[in-house]
Amino acid sequence: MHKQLSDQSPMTDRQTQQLLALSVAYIMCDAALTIIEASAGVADLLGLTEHVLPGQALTSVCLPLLGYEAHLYAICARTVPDLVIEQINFEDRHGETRYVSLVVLPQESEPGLVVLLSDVTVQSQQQQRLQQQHHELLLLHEKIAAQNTQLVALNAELSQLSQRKSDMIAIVTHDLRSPLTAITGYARMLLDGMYGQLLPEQQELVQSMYDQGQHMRELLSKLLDLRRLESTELDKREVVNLNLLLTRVVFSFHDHARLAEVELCLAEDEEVLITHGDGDILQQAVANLVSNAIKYTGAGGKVVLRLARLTELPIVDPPLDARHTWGALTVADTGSGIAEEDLQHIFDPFFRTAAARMRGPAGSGLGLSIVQMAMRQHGGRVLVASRPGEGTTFTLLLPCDTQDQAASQQ
Amino acid sequence: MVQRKVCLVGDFAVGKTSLFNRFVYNRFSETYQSTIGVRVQRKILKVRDHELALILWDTEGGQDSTTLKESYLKGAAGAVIVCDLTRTGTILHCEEYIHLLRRENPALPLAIAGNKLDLVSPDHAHVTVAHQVAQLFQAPLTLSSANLGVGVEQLFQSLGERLVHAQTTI
Repeated sequence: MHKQLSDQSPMTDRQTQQLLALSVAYIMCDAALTIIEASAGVADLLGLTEHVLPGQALTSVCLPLLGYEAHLYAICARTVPDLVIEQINFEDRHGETRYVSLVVLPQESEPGLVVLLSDVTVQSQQQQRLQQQHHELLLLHEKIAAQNTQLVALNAELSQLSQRKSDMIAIVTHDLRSPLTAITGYARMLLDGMYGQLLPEQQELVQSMYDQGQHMRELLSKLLDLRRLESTELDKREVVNLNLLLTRVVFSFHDHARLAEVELCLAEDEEVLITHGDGDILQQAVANLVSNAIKYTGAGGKVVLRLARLTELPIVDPPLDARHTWGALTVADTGSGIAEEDLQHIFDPFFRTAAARMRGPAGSGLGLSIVQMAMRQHGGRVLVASRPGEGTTFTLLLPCDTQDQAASQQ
Repeated sequence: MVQRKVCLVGDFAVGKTSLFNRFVYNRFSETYQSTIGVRVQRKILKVRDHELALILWDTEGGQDSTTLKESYLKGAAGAVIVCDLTRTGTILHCEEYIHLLRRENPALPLAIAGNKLDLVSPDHAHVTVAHQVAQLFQAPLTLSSANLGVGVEQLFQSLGERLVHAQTTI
């Protein structure tokens, strides 16, 4: 058979020899596709349990050739050169996957075919492992892409809901402010005796009405501030002198602290620090901290404001950008402190500590949310450290320039 | 006995081998094993009191139809295009496989298997897309789950019935 092929195959001798060297088995059949001869390894390579015998139909032994009959006849007639089927795999009797490639060529000496079978298991297994990894990566990629799409949609939905919430707050607060102004105004007029002297009991009731009304006005005002901070990007990028800002805040709270018998002082560093942003928002953030500090520091206590350039960056998550100069603005009090379990919630809107609730309805629970939002808008951070019974220190970290840096930029 | 070659084609990891194994051996594996080349197996089907031997070709899947070896399709009397109902791309690629198969033989009986039905709800958007593709190319869609064995017999039985009447091959 080898001689026949090497002498008379339409392929060159060299090619035929190479093919035979690669093949581990062969089948020869006549023009009617009936097997004439088969080498010993055929049954094993095709996963058959019985020997391949002359007289059997080629397609009954070699199942993958079923359906190719027209093609096989064409090879016999030499109108088609060959047929190659690569990597036919099957489970052998040990349950292992084996791979066989087959080539069908015409016989030259007489009408018929030669089917060459090669065991390509080793290289196919390597290819399978690589392909498996490639497909698993592609699946992972598809999964991540699908999750990203879902996240984008979810994010859009959340933004829409957040916008609706903000719009609702804006409408409600705006609509409540006008009647509240009238209520507190009339209460003030009654308290001022414009409609006659009130009885002591009436005086107390109207005073309460006025106080509650003022509290509601403050709450609405803070709600509006929070909404404004949440819904808009920072549009003001003015130069803000933090030293001046602290001085203004201390001055504005001077009387308030005196009435509460709290010592309010400014321990200012000599270095002038400049930041860029919205001065009104930053002043409001510091004012909220000072207002809280005075409120929760009893008579005889102390509130100290300090501004300093950081010489060493604290470890925070996410980390501070070391390319900037950072200023630390602290508001430290000797007040009642915050319980450890409350610390993680104090920046949540409307959260009030147990101590705050005990004090009555004076707080809105929005002041610290506004501080946090203001810091986010300015690329800053807010840190808090507190010990119950000893006091609390809030630190606002802001990217700054020293006066020299600011001057050189100009 | 009448014997007919049927090719299972489709993108990778859509469940061609799982459908093949469920139909031929009534078994299922949770582990994904990528197919290299082709696996050929015979399965006898009873169609209207006649026995039909399906010679099933479970072909290697790629990222789309361009990687499919066309030599595998020669002599096919029918084909099942498999897509994964959890992955839109595999459903949309059905069109390419249909074009490829019909280019060789416009009359070739085709069936689409929307597989992994156990992972999506029947009213999922992907199921609707699969129905639209099937309708557009006039290839019957069977929703299947090789995992649960749902729709598998129905898929091959209905194709088998069409094969008994069809004589054309690629």
